[in-house]
Amino acid sequence: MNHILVIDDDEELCELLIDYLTPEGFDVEAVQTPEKGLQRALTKEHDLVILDVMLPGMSGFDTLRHIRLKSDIPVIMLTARGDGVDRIVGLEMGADDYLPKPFNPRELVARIRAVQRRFEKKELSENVHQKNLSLKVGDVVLDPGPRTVFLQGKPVSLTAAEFTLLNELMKNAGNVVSRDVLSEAVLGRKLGLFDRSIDVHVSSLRKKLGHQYHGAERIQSIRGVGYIYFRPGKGGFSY
Amino acid sequence: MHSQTNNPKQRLLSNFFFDSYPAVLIRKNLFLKILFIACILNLFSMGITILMAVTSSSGPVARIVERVEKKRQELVSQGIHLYATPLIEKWVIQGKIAAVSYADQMEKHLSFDPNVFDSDGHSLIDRKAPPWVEGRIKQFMAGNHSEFHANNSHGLIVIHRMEGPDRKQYVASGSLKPLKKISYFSPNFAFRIGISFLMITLLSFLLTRHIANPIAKLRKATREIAAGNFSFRVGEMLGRRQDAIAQLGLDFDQMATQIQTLIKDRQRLFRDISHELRSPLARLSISLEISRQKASDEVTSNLDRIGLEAERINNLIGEILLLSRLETGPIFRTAEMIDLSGMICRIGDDANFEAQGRQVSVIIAPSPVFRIYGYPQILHRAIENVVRNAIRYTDKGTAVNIGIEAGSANKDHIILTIRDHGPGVPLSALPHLFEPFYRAKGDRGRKTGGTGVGLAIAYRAIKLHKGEIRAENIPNGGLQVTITLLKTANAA
Repeated sequence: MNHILVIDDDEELCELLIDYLTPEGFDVEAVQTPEKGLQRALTKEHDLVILDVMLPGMSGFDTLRHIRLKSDIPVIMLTARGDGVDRIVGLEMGADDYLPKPFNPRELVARIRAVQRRFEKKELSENVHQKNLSLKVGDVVLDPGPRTVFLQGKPVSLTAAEFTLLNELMKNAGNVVSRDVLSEAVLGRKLGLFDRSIDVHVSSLRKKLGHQYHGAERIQSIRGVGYIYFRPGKGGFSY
Repeated sequence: MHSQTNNPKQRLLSNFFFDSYPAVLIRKNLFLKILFIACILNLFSMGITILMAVTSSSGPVARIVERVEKKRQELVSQGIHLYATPLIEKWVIQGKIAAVSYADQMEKHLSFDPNVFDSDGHSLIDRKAPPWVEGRIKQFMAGNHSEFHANNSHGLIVIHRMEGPDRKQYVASGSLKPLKKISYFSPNFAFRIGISFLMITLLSFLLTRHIANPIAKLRKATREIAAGNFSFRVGEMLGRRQDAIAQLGLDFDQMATQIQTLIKDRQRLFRDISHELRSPLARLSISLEISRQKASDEVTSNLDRIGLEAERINNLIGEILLLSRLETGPIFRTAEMIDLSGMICRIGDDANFEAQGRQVSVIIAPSPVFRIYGYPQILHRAIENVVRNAIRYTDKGTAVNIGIEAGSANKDHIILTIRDHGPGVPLSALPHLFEPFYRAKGDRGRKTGGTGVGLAIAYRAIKLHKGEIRAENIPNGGLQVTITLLKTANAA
């Protein structure tokens, strides 16, 4: 769970990252071109991809898109600072989280570990037969063990962040979950001011599962507090 | 519009004419303007024609009347001769009865009133002439002209002296009612004026539309560009038109393309600058952490220092880029409704956290909720910069006071005040406070950690929201920054 693929055209940065991350216990491979990066990412030899947005040739976003066509591997984007648009676009395209450059590598490690934790839970639950831990709310069935989601019997493809987010919301279906709690669970960090990462992931979920269910909003946003997953039956929402 | 005059009479006149409601309407509306001018021209030219026809004695109507009168007189003259000659003959040779019967017969074919008199003034056919004719006859007989004609309000009269076969003198006259007044105006004059007026209006309408339509399209295009939609082009909207206005449209499109290119280039430049400056910082930051991994305790504080300075460089890059973006506009964000009082509370809380490190506190006066329409991130940055500045300069142990209230003079204003208890700013420096990198003399800023761009950003940001920001010294000591914002601020 510690095989990292770094796709960044800054060769020196890549070397430094390898120097830093290796003593932290990670096995890092770095490539400089998006084409090579895409090829390596799809070999399933890695557990996480760190992808720079400003790549020559095929842009970082296009690379992300191509990866997402075939794989749900967790992706952390390295974005330019101060460009809020980049982050939203990246998250909408399926990145799990972003980190603006220049960044403190300790933060990067924190986020990598957040991703690791999610998958550790997966492995743990795989060892113990967790059939009764599968969540069913309305027309969605979520299995935390094999990390599968079914909408009306049909499988839905979610990124790691989207899955964890849905898990948290469904665990507390009918009750409001604060954005801070969601951020810690999904991104492993606190939300900054004007940080819309969770909002974007919620938006993706809505798109993939459908905005409405039985005449009500599937995921309702409570201004200033958080989100609620609709539980059909006696009073779908309660605060 | 028109120059101000000091003469009150002139001003009154101009006010009356140029500022009256219909006048303003015409000035503002291109269509009405052209219609108005066309109608004035039309009426003017009609008026001139009528005037010429009516007043001039050599005008067309007068000439026609003259000709007609002449002709009438000629014909009556001829008629009298043809009528009177045989009548006198009959009277002389055959007697009155024959003459009267001849007269009755002939008069069926005459359109004038004839009469013949002997030298004593008796009518040969025993017909009494109307008084005005009689008077003329008497006058004529008194004279010795052979012929007389006159035209007056009674009508036309022609008198001839004739000699009968008996060699005696006779006088023949013919009178005709006056010409019915020839109307200068044809019977359906009003109808024709009306039709011509309608035609003028219709043509004016078409002409105006032909001109005003593309102008309206150009206006729309200009507004689109001003609003930030740089890909808008007007070319197709002008269709197959080829005149100067269409050329203007083509020129406009060219200009729009240039602007679009400039904006794209500028955006790319900012990205590149950001990228180029931040890449080494990114590498530096990782190297720093690697050093920490390997370093002994004694160099920790040095490494911290390196990290801090790198952080400062990074912040400065961000601020400079933000300032550049704000200065050269446009802003590629959407405006939203902001809870201003809530934002200030958050800024205050964050600042308090920072302030405690300097033994300084931030106090926010309680206030009702104020909402404003604007760009949250930019506004947040602006206010935060001012508050941070206040924290840096206020004396140890003092507080920075933040207050927000509605304007007293203008209820639509929101007044935000940030006041510190520091040394204030020298008067000479006050006007320059919001310039980038300005340092008041003697203030090296290093101790206080100012970056010098924060207030410039605040200034630009507030201006973007169509507000005002100013700074002044408080008599008791300290600086107060006052930000005025519009409640219904429709941000640029």
